[in-house]
Amino acid sequence: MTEETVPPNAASGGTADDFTLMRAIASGDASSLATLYDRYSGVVLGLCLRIVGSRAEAEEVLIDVFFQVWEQADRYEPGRGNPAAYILTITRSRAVDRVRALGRRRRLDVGEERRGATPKGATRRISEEQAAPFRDAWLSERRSRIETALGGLDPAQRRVVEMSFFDDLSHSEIAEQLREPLGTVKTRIRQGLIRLRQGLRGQFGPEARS
Amino acid sequence: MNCDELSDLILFHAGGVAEEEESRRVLAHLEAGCPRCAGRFAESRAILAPLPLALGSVAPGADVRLRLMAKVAAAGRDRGRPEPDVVSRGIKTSDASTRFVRMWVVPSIAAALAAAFVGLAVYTPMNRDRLALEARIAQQEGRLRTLQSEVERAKRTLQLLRSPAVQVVSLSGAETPRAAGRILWDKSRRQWHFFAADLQPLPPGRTYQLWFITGDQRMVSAGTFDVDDSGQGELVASVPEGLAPIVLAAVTDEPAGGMPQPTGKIQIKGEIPASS
Repeated sequence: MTEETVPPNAASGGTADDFTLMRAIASGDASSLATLYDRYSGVVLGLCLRIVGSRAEAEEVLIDVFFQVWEQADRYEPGRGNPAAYILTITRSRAVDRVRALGRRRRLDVGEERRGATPKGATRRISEEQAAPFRDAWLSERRSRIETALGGLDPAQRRVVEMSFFDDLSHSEIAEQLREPLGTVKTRIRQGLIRLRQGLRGQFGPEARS
Repeated sequence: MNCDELSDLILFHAGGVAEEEESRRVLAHLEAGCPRCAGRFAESRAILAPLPLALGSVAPGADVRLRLMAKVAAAGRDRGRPEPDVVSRGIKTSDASTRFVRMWVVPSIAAALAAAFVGLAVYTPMNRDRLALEARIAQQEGRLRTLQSEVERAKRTLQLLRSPAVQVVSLSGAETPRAAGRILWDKSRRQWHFFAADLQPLPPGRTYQLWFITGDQRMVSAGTFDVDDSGQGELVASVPEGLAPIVLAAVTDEPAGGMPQPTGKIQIKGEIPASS
């Protein structure tokens, strides 16, 4: 893999290649978008499926995400986060918008079904084209750190963080589903996110170095 | 609220888990231009955004990439085109040259520029149309390939159904009463052509697995498959040589990639008649 200079103030956690791809996309290079798609479409679809539920809708959101990356690549600022984090932020926002457009009732109906795949139980299925060894190793390493950080939460905290962060349920909806007081749910989410921040600060934050 | 009090709300907001009122307070503070809190916000986003990596990857269908690239092409943005190479040349300033320039060169340049503008005015919409057309053609070609593949598959299935060497075995729902399966056992090729209907689509990280179950109680994997949104799936499996007579076929749900032995619940099953 070619070594490239990481842009100053760029958050690490992405490869230098990703930053180069974003610059190329900003200057209109569609093949760079295709490469970025091949790298992250699997992760993006995994998150979309978790939030949206329906495969067909999730794939539509996947297209929307990368089209937005294409259209707004010139607005991406390396100093605000690595490209992977940028793409996942767009993904969550788009998936949540899609769910809200489809109607909140449907989300609650499929909530249990979608939560069947917990991060610990998830197994990667990626196409042969995406199985580049370096990228695989990087994703694998990042996934491992995140799973470690999630594993550091107590089960009750982890559950509500996942329901809020991956399923886009409001605190009230979580409280209703778990039959817990709203205040308890909010406190657990707060404590969970603070512990995640402690666990992952220095791994992914702007000061981290790969 | 001061910055320290807002620190956790900033984390909530960055993670998209803040209540509306909390988000409003954070945004108002950030819009006021607090650099310390802006830094906290950026840090929080960078830390929390990759959390979905823990969910694992799911490969999208091949047509999704085609549709994305067709959409990009149809958008018709020409950001990468190089600027025309314009070389200015010095012009000698003698009286005759000046007259020549005034009489011939300037009008010629003006005419050329005018022609270029007209050409561009015609070319740009044509180029956009061309790109859009290319995108549609790419889409149609993709659909055609998919349809051709489906037709071939249907032809093969019809041939199997007509063959006297093929035995048909039905599977019915254990966990899900509506679910069903059908095996076309091609004895001449030692192959099971398996079709599933009305199985529940599984969440990411799970898959269905088909099993040969023999008379001596061995459970041998025939392979894994997924179902589409309508609950349909299929699999072609080779029947291993040397197996004891197969008495039962069953489908369980397992972790993606399958398991050496069944761990999930039986979704559908069917007995293989003794004559096979």
